[in-house]
Amino acid sequence: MTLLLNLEYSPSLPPFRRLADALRTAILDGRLTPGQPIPSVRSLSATLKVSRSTVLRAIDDLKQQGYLETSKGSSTRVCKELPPGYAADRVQQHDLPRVVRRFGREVRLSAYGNRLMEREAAHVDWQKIDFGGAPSSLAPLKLWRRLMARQWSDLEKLELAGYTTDPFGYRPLREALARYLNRARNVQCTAQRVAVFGTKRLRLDAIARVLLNPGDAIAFEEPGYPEAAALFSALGANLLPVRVDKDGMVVERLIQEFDKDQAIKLVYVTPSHQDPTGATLSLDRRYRLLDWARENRVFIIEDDYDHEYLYGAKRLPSLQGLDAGDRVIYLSSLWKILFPAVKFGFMVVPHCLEAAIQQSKYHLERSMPVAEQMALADFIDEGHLERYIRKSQSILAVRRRALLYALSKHLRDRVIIYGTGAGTHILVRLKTGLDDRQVEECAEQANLSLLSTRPFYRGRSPGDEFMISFANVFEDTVTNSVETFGALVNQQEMVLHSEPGA
Amino acid sequence: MSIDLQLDHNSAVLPHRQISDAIRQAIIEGKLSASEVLPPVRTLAQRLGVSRATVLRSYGDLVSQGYLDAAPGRGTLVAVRSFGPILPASPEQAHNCQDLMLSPYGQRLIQGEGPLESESGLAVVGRPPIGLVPINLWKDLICKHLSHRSDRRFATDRDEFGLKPLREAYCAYVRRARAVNCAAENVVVFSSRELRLNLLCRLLLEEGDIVAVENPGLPRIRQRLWTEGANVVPVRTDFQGLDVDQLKTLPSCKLVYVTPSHNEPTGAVMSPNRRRKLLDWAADTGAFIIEDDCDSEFRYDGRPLPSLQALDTKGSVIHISDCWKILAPVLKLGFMVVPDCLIEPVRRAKAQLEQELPAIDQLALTDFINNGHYEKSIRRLRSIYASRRKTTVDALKRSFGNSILIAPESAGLNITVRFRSTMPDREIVQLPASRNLLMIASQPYYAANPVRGEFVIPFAQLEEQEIAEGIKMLSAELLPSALE
Repeated sequence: MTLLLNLEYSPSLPPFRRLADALRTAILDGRLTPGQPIPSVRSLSATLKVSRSTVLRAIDDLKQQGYLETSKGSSTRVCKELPPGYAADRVQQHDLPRVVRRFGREVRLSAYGNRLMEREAAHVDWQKIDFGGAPSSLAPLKLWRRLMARQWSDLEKLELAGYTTDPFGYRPLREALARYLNRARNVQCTAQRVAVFGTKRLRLDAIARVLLNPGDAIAFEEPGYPEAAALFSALGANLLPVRVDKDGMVVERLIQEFDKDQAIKLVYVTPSHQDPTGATLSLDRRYRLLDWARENRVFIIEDDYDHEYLYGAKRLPSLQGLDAGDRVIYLSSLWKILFPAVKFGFMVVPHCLEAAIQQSKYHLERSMPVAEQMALADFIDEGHLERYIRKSQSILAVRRRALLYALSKHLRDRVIIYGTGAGTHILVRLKTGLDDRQVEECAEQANLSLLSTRPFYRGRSPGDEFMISFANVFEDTVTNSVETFGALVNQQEMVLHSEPGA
Repeated sequence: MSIDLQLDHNSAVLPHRQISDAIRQAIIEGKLSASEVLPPVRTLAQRLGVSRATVLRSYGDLVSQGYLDAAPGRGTLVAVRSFGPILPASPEQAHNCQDLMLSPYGQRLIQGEGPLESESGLAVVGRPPIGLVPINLWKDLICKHLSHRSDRRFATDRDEFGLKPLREAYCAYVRRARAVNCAAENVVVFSSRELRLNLLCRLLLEEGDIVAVENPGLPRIRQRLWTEGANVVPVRTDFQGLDVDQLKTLPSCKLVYVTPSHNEPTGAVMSPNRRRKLLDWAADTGAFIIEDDCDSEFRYDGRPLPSLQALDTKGSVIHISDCWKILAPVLKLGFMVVPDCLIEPVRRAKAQLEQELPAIDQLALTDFINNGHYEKSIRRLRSIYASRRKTTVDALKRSFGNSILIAPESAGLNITVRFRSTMPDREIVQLPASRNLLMIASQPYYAANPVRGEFVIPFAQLEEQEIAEGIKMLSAELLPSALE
């Protein structure tokens, strides 16, 4: 144990006294806790560069005062019971301030800081729907552990990978991703343009900060992913909500209404599974959006956060794969697969932004842990990823059916279900006499993963709209949960009706 | 290996570049075929008479460019891929680049010099040689936490500041070892170390605000601050640390970046008197001080000084440190201790940028600290580095006697020396011996008035034998020509 004590600032006292005072201060400050052994005489004398006899004298001093004790055959410890007057000492004796509350200090923040402080971003309790529907109970952790364990045996490889300073990440992983995204999503790129990010948010920041000035406009789905909205707003961007229907973002509206009024720099869109409605952007709209973006030199952020699981619907190629104008910035992650073990996010950068985003990445995150990147490269290259997706897809299909059945059986005409074609959650509208929060409470009691879509709306939310995750649903219990939920809702409604004035 | 690798010691091209160029050429020409195994680093280093680090750098470059693969148990081999040149952007796209309409920040990024050349020379600095990383222990901790299906635990503790147990463990450590005055609520865990400065700058600075840095000081930090839009002002730094009186002459300074425990490259430790003056100045002006305390544990003699933060009573100091020095390259978490007044602003910014931190790494590091491995590793590294440092100093004195000045502070992972020599610095660093010693000129550390004949030797990266031989060679190459 290393203990650094401040002996420097009370030079008029003899060394042993200064050491004793410093040790006592450490005890009173809670740096050394009652019952904790203190460093050995040898170690104290070595780290503090004082003689052993000084240390012994100081310890002796503190034993006499009742701060330290030595039981036979074991090291010197802080007394379990500190001497009386302990609280008084606390105030008088230590010359180092303890943790002082410093809220009083005035802090001059930047405009960015002030925007953050003005309004807290809408809080989304992702835990309610299993962190955005990550089927963590299916995550192949055992396999992952095996792949991870493999990486440590070859020191030379670890060292080599550690020496590579490309901010876009470990090259073989980027190659594996380029091949996988090309197979699965028709993404067109070389490994050169694939960037690995340690966490998901930084991807949006790396793009937005490079492109947006405060006041610039960004077209955003309404409803849409609240955390992206918060990030863009904090950077001072002006969010333009674009309505979403069953074919995804209403691109026609975007083109007609916004083009003339205000220069749009960016469009944020979730084409394969709109967040939260579950709509898929139609092929026709994809082409229109791309043409419009090329003509007006607008960049498109395609967040392909949820493309893995599809139930009967037709799989459309990514926007990036259809883009001939170098306008699409493609984002993806393995959130739905290896959560919570792996939290990497990926980006495929257009040619023209390669240099800028590489620099921007360098300033945000210069390198990432190597073993995880190596294991992930193996996970993809050895075919585990696609095998795992296939396997989970069939399990999730059963879970989804079980949930749909239970909902229609127990909630009948109270519920309208839509957005069921993909992903790990469905969207429902519930007709109840309760407000969203009460519905969420009922769901929580009934063990149903349900979340109101309120935070997804920039404008007025329609209310009564909820996401229900089936990621961690079990066939045999879901019926029960839904039934309990129905009963709880009934009960709450009765309570409301019986209250006078309700 | 089927190619004949020769180094030209007189060439201006750095040896690691020569090696990687030769291997790349051989791959493109088909002299090395896919899956062919390259000689182990140590073997090639011996054969060419260069350090392991040199060979590692060339192999590392080639791996990152996709020419080589490192396969467990088999060594480094030629990658199985087609090696077309990477497609350049088409002319049309190149044209697009000019009107990308980037933000001022984006434009600075493009204009900036990119990763500094000096930094690529110093890429090794600060990390432990891989043989000294407690890999097996770390692996066991990671595997232990991967085998618990403990998502519930990550879930409930999810917090933009990091897992509570880790923050508590780190808090106890910095209180113990660095006398940092904080509670667990003041500790922020970052998955990206770079993000710390990035976040603070955008939270506190407007474009053009003055930020003071040490001169000489870390070139990387100056570059980062400049990119963030700061008006970076270098302040004279002598053997007592940053000159606070000069700082006081600045019209308005919002932020100071200092390394009080150990300045790069001079090794100067900020004196208690200057520390007080700096803190008083910050309290008066409302400026914040970033205390970079990263390698502070490596002091080889002299009493360790507590952190600057420990003396701060006004909440002016932001303390940053990390575990890079022990666990690079397997763990990249960074830490920041913020004063109370910044907790809420930092929390909000952090929530925007980085909310999901790697859970397993955090759990493993918590155990690593709590079980005492952290301090044990530091102690072990310190004693190894101390003896490497001693070997370096002894060898330098033996070989150069009075024609060399060695910075007196015994701290950090580099040693700074000054030769009284007539040979230009440019030529000195090109000497084969300098390259083996990974020696670089200290010039990039100076924002203004660089010192001629001053060099940095990252002794911590070299084995004692390499050091001794390297210095002997250096004296042979340098002495006859130019020493005064």
